[in-house]
Amino acid sequence: MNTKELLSKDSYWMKNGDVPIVLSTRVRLARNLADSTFPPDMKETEALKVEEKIAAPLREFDLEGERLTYLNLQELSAIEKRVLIEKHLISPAFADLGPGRGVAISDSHKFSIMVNEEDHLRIQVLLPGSSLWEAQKYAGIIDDYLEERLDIAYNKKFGYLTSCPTNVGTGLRISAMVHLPALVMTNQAQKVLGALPPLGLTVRGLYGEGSRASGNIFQISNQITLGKTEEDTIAHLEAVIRQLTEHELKAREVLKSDAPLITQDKVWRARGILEKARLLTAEETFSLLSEDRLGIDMEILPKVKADFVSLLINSLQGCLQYKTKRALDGHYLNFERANYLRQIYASAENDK
Amino acid sequence: MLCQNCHAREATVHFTKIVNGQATQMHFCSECAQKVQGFSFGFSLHPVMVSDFLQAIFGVNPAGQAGQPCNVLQQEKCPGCGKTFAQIQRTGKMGCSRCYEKFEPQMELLLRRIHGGGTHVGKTPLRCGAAFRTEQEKSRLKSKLQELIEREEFEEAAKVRDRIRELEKMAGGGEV
Repeated sequence: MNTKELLSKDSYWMKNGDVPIVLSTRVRLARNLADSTFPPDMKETEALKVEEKIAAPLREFDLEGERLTYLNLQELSAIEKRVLIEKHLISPAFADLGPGRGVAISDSHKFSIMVNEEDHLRIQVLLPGSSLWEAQKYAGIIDDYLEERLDIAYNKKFGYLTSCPTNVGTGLRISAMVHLPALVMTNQAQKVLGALPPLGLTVRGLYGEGSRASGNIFQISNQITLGKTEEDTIAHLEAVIRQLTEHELKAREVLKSDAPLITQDKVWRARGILEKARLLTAEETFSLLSEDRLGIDMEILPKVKADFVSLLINSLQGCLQYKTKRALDGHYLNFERANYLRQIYASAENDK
Repeated sequence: MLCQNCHAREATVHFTKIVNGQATQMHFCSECAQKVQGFSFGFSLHPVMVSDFLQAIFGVNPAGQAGQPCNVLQQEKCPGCGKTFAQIQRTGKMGCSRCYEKFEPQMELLLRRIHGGGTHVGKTPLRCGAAFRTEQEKSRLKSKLQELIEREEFEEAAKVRDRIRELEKMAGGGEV
């Protein structure tokens, strides 16, 4: 697939459909070659050698009819890199690295493998909804494929060896992106999420560019990678996610029974602005889309034809610039964003 | 509360890092949070953050505290990449896979602090051989068996015990 085709499309993980609350799932494995310096200390010549060693089998890879396209980081423009970051296909830190770096991305963006990020290999699987086990299965298949072709660093005591000691062992980081607007509105989010760190889980918010608002979206991920099996790690996070979902559903019931008018007013206002506004900042957009989605989930608002996550990502600066093919900032950026959303929401209006 | 990075704006992003029950709170304003965490949907932790934490954890074990072994280690270099333990301490990053072997006692201590556990129990590469994999599976099942017995889930425990016996038979040990 050529770069343009690959970057223009919506990622599979962004298509979460009607599934509420758990928007997407990610599984990441950190792996390294046994006989090379880890990327942070690598000289350029070694980085290039390692890249070629890893890229060769990646180019041959095929899973369920999906092939990988290998993109060399040096050949990508700043905007292209930004699109990859916004679509979660590379990490922000990766975009700034020098020669000998690249990423292999599958046709649907389900799989992305960063070469020479902090580790020689970062195998990532991204799926919509709550699909931790499925994502882990795919990551395992890719891992086994590469292990047959490369000498992967492993030690019987410490497991898979990684550049950063926080990843050693399974090298596994799993995370779920959850949408918790009712918990935030009822002022319970802090309390509920505050219970997670003592369980070895990290909670992070998501920030639209330069914005404080996160669209009431949180990322929950595991912290511990040594002394715990992959299965236990997943089962643990899954149980917590289930619990969080229940709390959010309960809070939505409370909104429905105790504040029906306030809730209706809030979500209808969000819909109204998305339909009519001419200038929208990323920050405002994220909270509006979050409220709108809550309204759809609670069957107050009619559905829209686009996926919630897809709307969030496509209204970020990189994606907007890539689509309009020009550098945008300030008013122009906010204008293009409002245009994009108005088109989507105007067609929702017509469907009624 | 003010941002601990710029000390100018209100802190709106709060991180808590728990290591062996020891909580470290981090408070940033949204601007600084983006700087340390990278751009918007930063899926992976920005390395700066991680090494900051690691330096703090490494720092718990200053050279003086452990006496001479640590001083010796400051000089010794990893045969793979030539990094000293002092350099690893500074950056929070290992130089290559052989650093783990070279500085095993120090790493064991550090990894216990980070993860609570010190030994890998997860996936094993196929090339490690069937015997090692069986051995690992057995030790995993044994700890599960212990757990089940403690919870008085005897039916499930019996199943796990049978599975352990099976593995032992397969290994040709036959000592049940």
